Amino acid sequence: MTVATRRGRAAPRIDPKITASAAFHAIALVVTALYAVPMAYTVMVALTPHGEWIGAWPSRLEFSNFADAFLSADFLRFFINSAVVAITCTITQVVLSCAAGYALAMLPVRGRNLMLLLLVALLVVPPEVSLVPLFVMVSHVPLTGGNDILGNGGQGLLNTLPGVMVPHIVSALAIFLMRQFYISLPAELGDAARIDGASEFRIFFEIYTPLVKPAVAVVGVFAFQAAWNDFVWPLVVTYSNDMRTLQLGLTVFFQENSTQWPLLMAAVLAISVPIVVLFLLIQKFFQSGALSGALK
Amino acid sequence: MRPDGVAVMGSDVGARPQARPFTHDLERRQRLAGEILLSPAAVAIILTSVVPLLLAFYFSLTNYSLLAPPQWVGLANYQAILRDPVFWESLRNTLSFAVSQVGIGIVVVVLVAALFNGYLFGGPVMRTIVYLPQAASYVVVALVWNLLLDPAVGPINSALMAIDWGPIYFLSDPAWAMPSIVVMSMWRNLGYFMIIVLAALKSVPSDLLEAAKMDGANAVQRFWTISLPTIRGVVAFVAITWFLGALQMFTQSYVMTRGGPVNATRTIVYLMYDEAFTNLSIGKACAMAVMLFLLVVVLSLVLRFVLRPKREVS
Repeated sequence: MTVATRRGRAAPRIDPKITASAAFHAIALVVTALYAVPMAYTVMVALTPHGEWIGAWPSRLEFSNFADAFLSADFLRFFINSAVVAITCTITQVVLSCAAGYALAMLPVRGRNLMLLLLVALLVVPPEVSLVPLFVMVSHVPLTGGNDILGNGGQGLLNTLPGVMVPHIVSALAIFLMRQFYISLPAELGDAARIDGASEFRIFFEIYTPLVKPAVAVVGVFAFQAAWNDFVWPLVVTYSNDMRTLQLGLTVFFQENSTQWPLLMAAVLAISVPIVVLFLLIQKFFQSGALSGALK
Repeated sequence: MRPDGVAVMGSDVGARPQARPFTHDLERRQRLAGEILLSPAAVAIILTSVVPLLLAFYFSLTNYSLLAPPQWVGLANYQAILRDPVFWESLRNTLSFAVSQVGIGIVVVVLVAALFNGYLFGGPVMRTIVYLPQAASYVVVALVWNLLLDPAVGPINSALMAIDWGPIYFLSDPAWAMPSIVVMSMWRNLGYFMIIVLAALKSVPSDLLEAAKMDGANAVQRFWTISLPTIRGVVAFVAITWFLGALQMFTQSYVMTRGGPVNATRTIVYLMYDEAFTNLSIGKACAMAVMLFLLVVVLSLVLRFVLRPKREVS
């Protein structure tokens, strides 16, 4: 190629292309540094021994900060709560959105267009709009938390883990995404299996669903992230430490002991690592264009 | 056969006596399977999204404190809110947060995406680093920024003091609090939207770019006249999504400034939260929720219209 040979040869004057490339690299490095430096700083503070000046090079790397963070302030409890909530919601969201997405894409369900219209309309509704009424509903779930059969008298699912899960058990966006993936698959696959006598559920589960595994992974990671990172809902629905999730517990800890920076940053890293790793794992699905059909 | 299906579908089947044996049976089986697969999600969606939305409208017209049943008050909650100066201040804060974050952010996102779209040594690694913070929660990013901006031990103020510019009380000075939260939010969200714009840039037809190169257009000209018009729709989508999300800001204010100093970072959602869970005024809180809902719906329609793609490519 002409570009390659021109760039390869040492020209007497500096090629403007090389100057431009150097400038682009310099800008990209600055942009990256704006991200890498705060992250590295967080790691450094997280490893600073107790009592040393924050932000100076630590005299030694104090890995026990991670253990200390988890032993103090019920962090282990918060971690278990977050894990239970996030894993349960991931499973329910994946199951519900696969089933409903498949039905909406491939099966002649009555009210299908109405349901699709509803899902699309719900995409615009800000979740914060339902915050207060959902709180009222959760406090009135019948026969829970001292409530009678009409949902009065007690506190319902307030301050329970099922209560924390409520907004994340299903997602209109996830159903809609799964429907888009299923609908891009050929109908002939199912027809062939039908002629062989497969039941509709087998066709759903054994023929079509294996073909949308990347989409399942993406929906699952988004569900996990939404439940794991949520703050507002756990804030309103829980009031005691034993039901708090990590995001909430960390905030309460910060507002009570704002000077314990090393412990706080250790906790910050520990609760971010799982989700960051998940995102790195599914990154290839984004890049391979697995989502292009659905985002259109 | 399928005894379970007959049991559930009993009444429906009975309504159509003249059955064409095979196709009708197949369609009935498919419909039944579809209903079984769809209904759990449909019930869950209705209970967690539709009913709360309807209840928000209903509660907004009542006086409701959770302790006694709701009492109908008509539009009184809305009138009280519209007379409250703190509401207008919160609305202004919310809009200025959204406008400044997205207005500046969208330009930065497009430029950074264009930068990473070209050849860069180590580009994928740099891109991943920029992309990482959006996987972490707002709480986590806010706490890290609380440390970065801390007037006593934070590195930014250490640097400012070294050149005699500091300390700046980023989070306790009313003039600095909101800009600090805007920068922190932009920092977190940049990577997510950059990936979307980057994917769009990759889909710009390369033959067009090659042809322009042949004609002597430089990189800036090619970007401005070919790439940018092609990805216009995606940029508009990103701007709308980002803006509507920003209107719901709460967590950053709660974690970093508690809505202060002097209401400087109090947003609509923050006010709604306080109204519901500090003042126990569910009716007023729901009236704010309805207003937020209307604001989001109206703005999304307006923005979609203003930023609609030109019909140049079929």
